Amino acid sequence: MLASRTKPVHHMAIIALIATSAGTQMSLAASESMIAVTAEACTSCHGPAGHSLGEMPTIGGMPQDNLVDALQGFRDGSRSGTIMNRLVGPLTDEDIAMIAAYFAGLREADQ
Amino acid sequence: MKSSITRRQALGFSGAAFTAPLFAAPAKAQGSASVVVIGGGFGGAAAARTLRRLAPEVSVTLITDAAEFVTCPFSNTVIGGLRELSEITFSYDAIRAEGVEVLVDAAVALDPTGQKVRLKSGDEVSFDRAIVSPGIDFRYDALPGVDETVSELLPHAWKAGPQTILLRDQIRSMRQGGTVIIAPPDNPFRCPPGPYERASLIAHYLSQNNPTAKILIVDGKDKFSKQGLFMEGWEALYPGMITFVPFSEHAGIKSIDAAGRKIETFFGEFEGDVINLIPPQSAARIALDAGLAGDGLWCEIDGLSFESREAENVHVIGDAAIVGDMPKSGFSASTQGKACAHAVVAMLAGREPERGFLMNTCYSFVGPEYGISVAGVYQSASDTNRLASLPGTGGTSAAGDHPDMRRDEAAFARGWYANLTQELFGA
Repeated sequence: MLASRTKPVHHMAIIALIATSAGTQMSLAASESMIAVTAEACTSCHGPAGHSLGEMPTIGGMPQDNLVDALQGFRDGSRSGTIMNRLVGPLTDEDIAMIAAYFAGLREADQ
Repeated sequence: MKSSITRRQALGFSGAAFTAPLFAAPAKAQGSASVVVIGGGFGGAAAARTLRRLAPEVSVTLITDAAEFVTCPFSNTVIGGLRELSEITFSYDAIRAEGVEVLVDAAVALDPTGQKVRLKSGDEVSFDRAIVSPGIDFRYDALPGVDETVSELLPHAWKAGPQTILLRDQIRSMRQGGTVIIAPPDNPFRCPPGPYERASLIAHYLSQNNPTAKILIVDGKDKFSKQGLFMEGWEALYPGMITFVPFSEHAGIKSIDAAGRKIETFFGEFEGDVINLIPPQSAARIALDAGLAGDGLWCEIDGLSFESREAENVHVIGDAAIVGDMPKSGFSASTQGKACAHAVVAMLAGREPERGFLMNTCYSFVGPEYGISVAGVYQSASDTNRLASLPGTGGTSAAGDHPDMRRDEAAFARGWYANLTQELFGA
C-alpha cells in the first residue's frame, strides 16, 4: 500500500530502515508493486531500467544515498532542476527511500 | 464495417453492476489467461511490453492497423525540417521478439459480452481482458460542408505519417510571403500544446526560407496550453510572424472553401496559402461502436484499474479515454499503459490494483534550441478512484527564464523522446 501522507513520517526510523538490508527487503516487499507502478513513470524519461540514452541522467544503479539526496533536494528546492522539482512534491521520505532503493538495485540487464 | 454488438447491449454492463464484486471474482488460472491490446501506439505498446515483463504466462496479442508506428510527438520537427519521417518511425520487431503476438490488421468490432475482437481480415481474437488504446478519430461532421477528403487539400497532420509529409511539402512549396493558417479545435483534443509547437517550428522553417511569410492561428478556443511561454518565445525568436486569433474574435467556422484555401468565420474570412485544418475529435470509432463512450465522445474509466465504466473486462487508456486530470498525450498514454498492465495482472490474479503515482511530462519546442515543458503527477483518489492532479505538483517551465534553461529543456526534450521510444519500441 501507499505510504500514508497523513501519518507523520519519522525520518530517523526510515534512515534506520534503509540502513539495513533486511529492513530494505521488508520495506520493498510491503510496497513493491506500488513502487513498481510509480517507477514505471520514471523510466519513460530516464530510460529502460533507468539507463538513459539522452540528456537525462542514468538513475539505474546509481548509489542509493545519491538518489535520496537528489530527490529530497528537488523536493525541498535546495537542488535546482528543470522538471524534477515539479514532480517530487507528493513523495514522502519513505516513498523516496523506496524509489531510491528500487533504482539503486537496477542494472541495464533488468529492463 | 459495422459492429456486431449494439450500444445498448454494451451499456447493459454499466453502472453499479460491476463495482464491488469485481475483485472478489475467482482468480483466473493465469496459465490460460489472454489479453488483447487494441492499438499499437504509446498506450498499446507500453501495455503489451509491461504485461510480458510482469506476467510471462499471460498471452498478449497486439492489434495494430499499420506495420510501423509513426509518432505524433516529434512529428512537428519533421514539418519544421529538423528531422526526417524515418527518424520518428518505429517497427514492432522488438515487441514481437519479446513474445507479443503482433497482428497487423484493423480491429473493426469489439464485443465486450462475447469477449472477442473481430478484425478486418475476418479473423476473431478472444480475450479474458482487453486493453483498448485506439487513439482518436476526427469528427468531420462537426465541420460545415466537408468530409474526410478535405484532408487531401487541407491536411490535419494530427495522425503522423503521410499527412505530416503533405503539410511539410505544402509549406516548402508555398510562395514567398504567403500565409499558413493553423486551425486547432476546441478542447478536448489530442496533444493540447501540439498546434502551438507546430506554429513555432513552421515559423522556424519560414524564418530561414520564407522570412516574409505569416502564420495565423484561427483557434477554436480563447486560451491554449503553455500560452504565455509560447508567446514569450515567439516574441523572442519570430517577432511579428505568428498571430493568434482567439475564438472570441471570429466566433467559429461558418464555411470552408478547400480549393480556394479560405475559411469563412462568423466575423470574417481568412485566406491562406496553406491551411492546417485540425478537426474536432472523439475516441476512435471502434471504442464508440463498442459502446465504451456511452452516449458521449470519450470513454469513461475507473482511474485505478482503467476498466471501462461501460463494459466489464475491457480497459481503456490513452487519448480515447477520459483519465481524470491527465492530458491526452503520448507520454500520458504510455504511463497509463504501464499502470493498466499492472492492474490487469493483479485482477487476473484476483487482487486489487496498487495505487501508484502516474506522471505526465510533455516538452514542446519553440525553436530547435528553445524547449518548454509541462508536467503533472496524478494519483487515483481513494474514494472515487478518479485520477486527480496532486496539489503542489506539476505546472510549466517558468516565464522569463534564462535562455540557458530553454536550451537545457530542448536537450531534455530530445532525451525524453529517445528514452520513451527506446523503452516502447527499442530492443
